[in-house]
Amino acid sequence: METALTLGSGLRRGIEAVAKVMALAAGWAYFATAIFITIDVLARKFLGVSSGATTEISGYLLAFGISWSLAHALAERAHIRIDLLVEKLPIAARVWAHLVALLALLALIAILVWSATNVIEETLLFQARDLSALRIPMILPQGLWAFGMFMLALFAFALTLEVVLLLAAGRPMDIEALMHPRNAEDETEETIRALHDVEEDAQK
Amino acid sequence: MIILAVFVLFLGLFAWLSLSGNAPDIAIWPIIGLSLLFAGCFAAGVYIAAILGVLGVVTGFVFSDRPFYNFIGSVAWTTSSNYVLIALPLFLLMGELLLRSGVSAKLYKALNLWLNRLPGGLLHTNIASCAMFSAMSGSSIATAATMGSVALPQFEGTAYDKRVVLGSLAAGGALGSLIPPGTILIIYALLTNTSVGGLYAAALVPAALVTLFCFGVIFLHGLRNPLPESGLRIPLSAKLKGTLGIVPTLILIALVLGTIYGGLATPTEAAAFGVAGAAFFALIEGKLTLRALNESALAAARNTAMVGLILIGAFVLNYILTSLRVPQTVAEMIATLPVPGWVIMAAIVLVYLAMGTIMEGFSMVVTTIPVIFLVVMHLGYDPIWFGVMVTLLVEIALITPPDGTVMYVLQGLRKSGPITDIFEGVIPFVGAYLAVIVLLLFFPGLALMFL
Repeated sequence: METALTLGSGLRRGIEAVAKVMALAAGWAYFATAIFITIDVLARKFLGVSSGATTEISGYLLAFGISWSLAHALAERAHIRIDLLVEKLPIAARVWAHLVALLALLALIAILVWSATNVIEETLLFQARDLSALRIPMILPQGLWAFGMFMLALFAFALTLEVVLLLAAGRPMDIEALMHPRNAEDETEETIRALHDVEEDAQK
Repeated sequence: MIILAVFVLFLGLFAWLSLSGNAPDIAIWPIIGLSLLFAGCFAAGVYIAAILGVLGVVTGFVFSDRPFYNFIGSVAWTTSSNYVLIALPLFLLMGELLLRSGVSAKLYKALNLWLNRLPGGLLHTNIASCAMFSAMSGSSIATAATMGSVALPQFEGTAYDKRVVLGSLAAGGALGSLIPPGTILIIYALLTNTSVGGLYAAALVPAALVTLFCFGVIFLHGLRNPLPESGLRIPLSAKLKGTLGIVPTLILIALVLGTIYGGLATPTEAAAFGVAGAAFFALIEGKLTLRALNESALAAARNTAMVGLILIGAFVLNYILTSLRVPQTVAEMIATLPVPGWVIMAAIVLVYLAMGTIMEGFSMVVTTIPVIFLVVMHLGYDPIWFGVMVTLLVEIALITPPDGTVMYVLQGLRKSGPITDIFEGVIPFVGAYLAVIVLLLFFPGLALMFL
């Protein structure tokens, strides 16, 4: 039992670390989007040139950004649940609510991964390119997008496995620590920490 | 409790309709069963995205004989790569950068130099600085957290009533989503295919009214509870010098809102300018560290993923329901009820207010708008006007006890004292918001004058 738990938890942590790097890449993709759009608009206004694919490329960056940070958002408990009733349940019942929520999420993820695979297959079949001036092959953005979904599936699966193992081992408090929904308190704590960090960096 | 009553009311309505032979062309009882399942999952704390998406697919398998599942992939892809939606991560990124840039502290100090002599003093600064910060940031929680962390230390050891201090910050924070650029308006535009620019233009006058009414609440409070004259007079030169702190804010507002209202840029482009501008001011302040950038990137990525997954779920559900003509049928049914349109509109407003006490604003909009919007269109109301209305209702949700996110943020910031202080303090300001809702109901032109 202990070995299984250590393995399960290690697996989850490993994927979580990868997911964090992926989310960081997603965040920087938004920076890149902002710079790209700004330069494109300025160039169009003042130089009369444009990439001819602003809408498409920014759209792809967004799809990449969303899908690559899905797993990290789950690890950070950021996906929204209504926690009003769950919080009031006794811990013994709450862990089951967490498990049900995870299983429903797995169902959604299964649907999404299956659908994303369909999209990829079709794109490959027709060698699809977009309608922009650059004629970008659709497999590039869609492949990255599908990979993000795949990582979410992997992480959700590892998380569910760990929750089930913890349930079997009779450790409800650990499940609660993994699963309790992110609330305004977490949000505030992070904001305060951000402000504090800034002060610290400034003093250096 | 209220939500339960409303739900029972709707159930009764459906039962009455099906008995009186007015039932729509699809079987009503399975729909009621599904709605109950839906409500149960919500209450059990299942991920909202999962409820929407899985419910959509289940509904499809129960009612549809077409291969609807082949289109889920392209629905998910178009939702994730939508050009309008790009404005969301960009505005979030801008807000995160501003939070770390020190611009907000400067803004607060600058405004305080001029507003502290009015009855109500420093409290006016709370509203004014929140309103100006809102004009750069699209999120109520970010506004409340940022301005709260700057403002609360200023009130320590003063004679100000702490309930009103907290109340004014909560009310000011809630302005975050109404004053353009607001993220709720972007989501609404996406769900209803309306123009983000149009919504931003329409939100202007109502936002100004809410701000004015909040000033009014503080003014009255100041007259009734005069503070001892501090006698401190700041020399004009110091005042003018301090006012320079407002310049970064004004430039950013011009960069974002100026370009949208001036017709120079789309909201997405303006959001990109905003990120560049915020990064520039953080750089000037010497706060554009790699750590600040990485943390901003992560926070924006996480929140966009959260919104993105729910939107994907919602669009999947919406696609399946629309192919079954459910929203249209429900809308026609409600619109042909033998009551005048304004009664239904009033009922919708009440339902949103009731939901707002237990649900967070964004999920509320995503889960209800696809159906409610069609009802409102059938009744002949303006889509842009309704968007502003919904945003106002969502803001009230943020500051109504017992589940107002903004209030919990403020409570987290001050750490001591009961949260009931905030509940009491915010009530007069909720009144200000409600007054604007009533005004909008009677004078829709207030929102539509700039279109």
